[in-house]
Formats: sequence, structure tokens, C-alpha cells
Amino acid sequence: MKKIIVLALLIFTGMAIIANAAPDTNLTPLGPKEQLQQTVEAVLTILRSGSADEEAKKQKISELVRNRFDYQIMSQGVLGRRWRATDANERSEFVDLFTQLLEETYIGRIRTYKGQEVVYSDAKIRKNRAEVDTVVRDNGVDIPITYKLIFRKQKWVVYDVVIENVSLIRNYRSSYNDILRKKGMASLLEQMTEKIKTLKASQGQTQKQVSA
Amino acid sequence: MCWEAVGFRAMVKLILNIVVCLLLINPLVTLAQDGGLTPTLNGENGINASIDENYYADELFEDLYDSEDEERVPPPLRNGLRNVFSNLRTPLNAINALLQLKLELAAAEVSRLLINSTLGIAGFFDVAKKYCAIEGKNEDFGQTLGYYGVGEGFYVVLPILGASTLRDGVALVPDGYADPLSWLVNYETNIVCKGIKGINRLSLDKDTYESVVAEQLDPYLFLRDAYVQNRRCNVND
Repeated sequence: MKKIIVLALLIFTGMAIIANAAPDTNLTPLGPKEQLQQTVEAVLTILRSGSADEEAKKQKISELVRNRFDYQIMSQGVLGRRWRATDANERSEFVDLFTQLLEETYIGRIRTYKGQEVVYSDAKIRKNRAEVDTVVRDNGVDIPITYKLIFRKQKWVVYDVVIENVSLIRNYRSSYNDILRKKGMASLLEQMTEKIKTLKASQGQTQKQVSA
Repeated sequence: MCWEAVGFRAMVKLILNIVVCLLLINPLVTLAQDGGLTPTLNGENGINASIDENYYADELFEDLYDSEDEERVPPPLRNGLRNVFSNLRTPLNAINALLQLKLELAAAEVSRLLINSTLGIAGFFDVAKKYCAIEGKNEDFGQTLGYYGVGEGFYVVLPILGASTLRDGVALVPDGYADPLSWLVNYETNIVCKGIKGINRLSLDKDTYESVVAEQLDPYLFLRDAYVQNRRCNVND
């Protein structure tokens, strides 16, 4: 459970598509495992590359991730029943903030990557949903990470990540629902905005420290 | 599963429930299986404070282990130390696996103990996993209680020990007695060993706490849910 955050960077490794995928991949559609693998490996390649420009790395990773992770479905999962009761404006604001929050939380973590390897199991497919079990080899410890994918718009996209039995979406849902119940949507959105601001500020700081 | 076993389970469940109720006084024991956990005893602030206190306790100890810019204990040694401690708890895993009628797992734990204590040099190397592909799994009395249907009760944050529920907290008592470390050494040494174990574990997983606090809107709720999800899965496996 505790490894959740340390390895969280591997969450978003799960998010992306090869933007410049060769056209012939469309002819033989890849399964969920292969599509996920492409994204994860692409992110790992960026992480391993020696280039020091962290901003550029972050940008590239974010692009890969946004292509593989469906933040809209994830947000829907986080809000659960509240989603229907939420109006269109608030919905899109929530999706936007949640995307930013996840990115700030996990992409900021690229500095902690130390060459961990990822091992993939075959996908379990049921209708338009799939689960891909992976194991992250970290310093002799295996951390199980399961990606849940759904087939949407001709490709497999991730809508939840389960690390050591803890579902990311359920985890967020449980804490956000508590805030929603006590303080309401406006307050939640406000708190999210505030958190994004502080995360950005603290990252700017560490960056300065690193380059200084 | 044959229905004799189910009858056995039902009986054990009944007895365990009664024991837990007697031990823990009163209606606070919610034996609910599903749904959200009952809100906790303390107010929100009280709990957040207790998370912080644990953190500072950890930090205090950690200074002994790591100074600002050097690692006083090299990582391979840390991993080895972790293996020694996890080897020491294999009998506990085996007992609880037996209590949950997981015979294969119990056998695996016993083999692990035998192999790792000898070839693995007192458990420093996990030979059983690496060369014999025998994997273990932590089983504790809290999971055993859960297996027989005892509900979680409410969530608590214990001083130093961290996240727990009423059931798992109670289960620490029998686990303490079944822990081989408590038979091998005297009480004071045992406490010191537990401390070293905790610091060592923390050192292998350093920035978790800080990041949860920095990144989550409500770290307390986040950790509570993560703990409960993880435990439920371990109970139901």
C-alpha cells in the first residue's frame, strides 16, 4: 500500500499513445496489453533518456499519457453518483482540474525513477473491457499494478489503476465524496485549484534548487 | 468448499465475534461487512494530529539511520535486514494460514522458513523466492478474524503503528504472542527490534508519507481508504 505514491510515476507511465504510430498498426489492431505496453515503454524510454531538460520530458510524457488515459471516464468514476447531479460546466471544470491534479501529482515524480522494469501479463478481456496485470520490479520488491482499460473510439484507454489492491479511482472517490458531502462541489473545485497551485509552486522551487 | 468446513467456519465466526465484543466492550463494534466504515472516535483534527505525531516519531528515528547527505546504512544491507525480519515472521504467517485453512500457503511458509534460515543465512537472502520460486504472503490474525467474518469495526490510527481498524488492532495482541521474536528475546530487546524493523521499512519507502500529505486534498481520508481497500483484498483472497 505504501508503495502507491513512490511508484505513482508508473501510473502515468500507463497513459499515452504513440502519437506517431505507423499507419500499418491500424490494419492489425493491437490488443489492450500491447497498446498499454507501447505507452508504458514509450514513457520509460523518455525517463531513461539522459537529456536534462525536465520541462520537455514532462511535456512529452503528459502528451503520451493524455492519449492513453481517459480522464473523462476517470472523473466520472471519481464523482460516482454525483456525476449526474453535476451540471455541464462543473463537470468540465472537474475533469480539467482532476487532469491537472493527477499530472502535477505524478509527472512531478519523474526525478524518482531509478530504472525499474515492468513485466506484463496477458490481458483478461471481457467484452469491451480489459485488465492488464503488470509487476514493477523495484529493488528486489515486486509491486503489482493492474490497469483497467475500456475500448473507446477505436483504441484501448485506461480508466483505473489498481496498485497493491488499491484502486486509484475508488481511493479518490472515497475522499472526494466526503468533501462533497460536507462542503459541496464549489468547495471541492476550490480546494483542487488551490492544491494545483501549491504543487506547481513547490515543483518550481525544487527545479530551481536542482539547477542552482 | 465442503459444507462441514462451512459449519466450522460459522461456529468459529460466532465465537470470535463474541470474543471481540466482550473484549471491546460495546456497540462500537460494527459488524457490518459492507458499506463505508463508521466514522471514527476522534474529530477530524484529532486524527490528523495523530498522523502527524507518528510521522515525527518516524522522522526522529530516521535521523539515526540517514544523515542529511549520506546513507549511513547501505541499501543492500537494508534489503537484507528487511528479509531477516520477514523471515522471522514466517511462523506467524504459517499459523494464520493454517487457521484460515490455507494449507498450501502454510506449507510454503514452512518451506520458506527452513530454506531461508539455512541457505539464506538467517533469512538475509530470500533464496526460497529467488531460486525455488516459493513465494510467501503475509497473513496476520486480523486477516484470520476477517476470514471468519468478523467485521472491521471503525478505522483507527494507532500511535507509532499507524493505520488500523478496531479488528486489526485487537488482532495485534495474539500476533504479538505468536511472533517468534517475542519468544527468542526479552521484552526490551523485542521493542528495540521492532523499532529497527520499522525504521528500516520506512527507509526503503521514504517519500510516501510526505507525498500523500503534499498532494492529497485530505491525506487522512486518502490513507484510510487505501488501508481499508488493501486489507479487504487481503482478507478475501
